[in-house]
Parts: sequence; structure tokens; C-alpha cells
Amino acid sequence: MISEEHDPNQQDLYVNNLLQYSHQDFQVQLNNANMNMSELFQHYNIKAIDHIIKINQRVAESTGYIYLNYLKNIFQDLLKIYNLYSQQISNAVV
Amino acid sequence: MQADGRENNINFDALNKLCWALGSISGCMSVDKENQFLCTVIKELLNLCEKSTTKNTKAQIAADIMYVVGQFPGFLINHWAFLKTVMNKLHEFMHESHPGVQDMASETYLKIAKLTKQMFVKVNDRDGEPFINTIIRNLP
Repeated sequence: MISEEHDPNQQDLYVNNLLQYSHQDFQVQLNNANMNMSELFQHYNIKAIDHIIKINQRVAESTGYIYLNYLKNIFQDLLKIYNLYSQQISNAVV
Repeated sequence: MQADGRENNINFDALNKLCWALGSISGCMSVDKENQFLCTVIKELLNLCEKSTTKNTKAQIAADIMYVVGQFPGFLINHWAFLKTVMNKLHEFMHESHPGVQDMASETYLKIAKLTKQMFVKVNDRDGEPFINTIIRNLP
């Protein structure tokens, strides 16, 4: 539906509105992680982040390039989270 | 299709096959004939659903209605009020805990949304805003 809209500003508005709840959850996870990094490795938080990423993936798949502007907002934080989990997995394997 | 509504008189195997057949002839008639045909089919199915008493029967007939409706995107595009009702009803079905109803509702919602997506980003009739705003506002 969003990809049928031709006005780029309106497209961004729709994507932001669509992802507002997922974004709020993501911000809560980031704030918790800033206060206590070990929170990120709790099972329920891993599940929550997994869910947020899955929602983002579905939206990205269906909206295509329109999703890019939203991705710019979360890309750095996502990268940090991937890095942390990647390190954690490497440490666990070693 | 014109069963008397008693659950044990409805052969769901035959009804499902009939609805599949009704849906498969989409696009074979002129627009006017197709409109008339679909109105009759939906009316009969709704009557059947109304006469049913058990949740299971209602769910099966509702799934048939949604299948048939989803096969006629042209009709939905030409009848915005009906399309809006169908989408609202499917949204309602997504919260229904009866087995299979959520899956049916989600699949049909996605199918109809893909086929009629242009209708959701423009202002239709006296809505005042595109329907996509309402959909986003009603997110759980």
C-alpha cells in the first residue's frame, strides 16, 4: 500500500507511523542497554530485539527503497547490537 | 447453496468446491454481469452464515465468503464501501481465536491489499483521509 503512494514525504510518514510501536520498543531496549549492558543478553530481551528486527525485515521487503530513510535512523544502533551479539557468540564458542 | 441453514444439511466439502469454482471464473463476464453475479453469491452466502448457529459453521462460511470476495479485485476497486467493510471485517477476524480464522483472515487481508493497494492511499468518497491512516491507527 505504502509503495503505491507517490509523495516521498507521505511515504516516510507512513513508514514512521507504521513502525512507531516497534521503534518505541527498540528505544526502550537501547536505553536499558545503555544503563546496563548485560540486559541485552537476557533471553526475553534477545527475543524482543529479534521480534523488532523481524518486523523491520517484513516492512523493508514490502516497501523496498522507501524503507531506506527509516533504516538510516536505526542503522548505527543496529550495527552496534549485531557487533555485540557477534562478539558474545564468538566468546561463547571459544 | 440455498440450504435451509441447519448445520447438518450443509455439505461443506461441496460448498468449498462450489466457492472455489465461483471464484475461479473471475473476469469471465462483463462488469455488469459480474457485479450482479457476485452480489447474488455474497447475498446467499451471508444468508447461509446468518442461519448457521455454531461458530465452526460460521467460520467455514466466512472463509468461503472471503475467498470469493478476494477473487474479484475489480469489483472491490469499483465498490469502495464494500472493500472497506471487507477489510474491517478481516481485521476483526484477525482477533478471533477460533482455529484457522486468524490464518484465513491474514492471508485474505494480504491478498486483497496486494490486489487493491491503490485504493488505500487515496481519499475515497467522504472519508476525508486515505484509509491507510485508519489502518495504521488501529494497529494493536
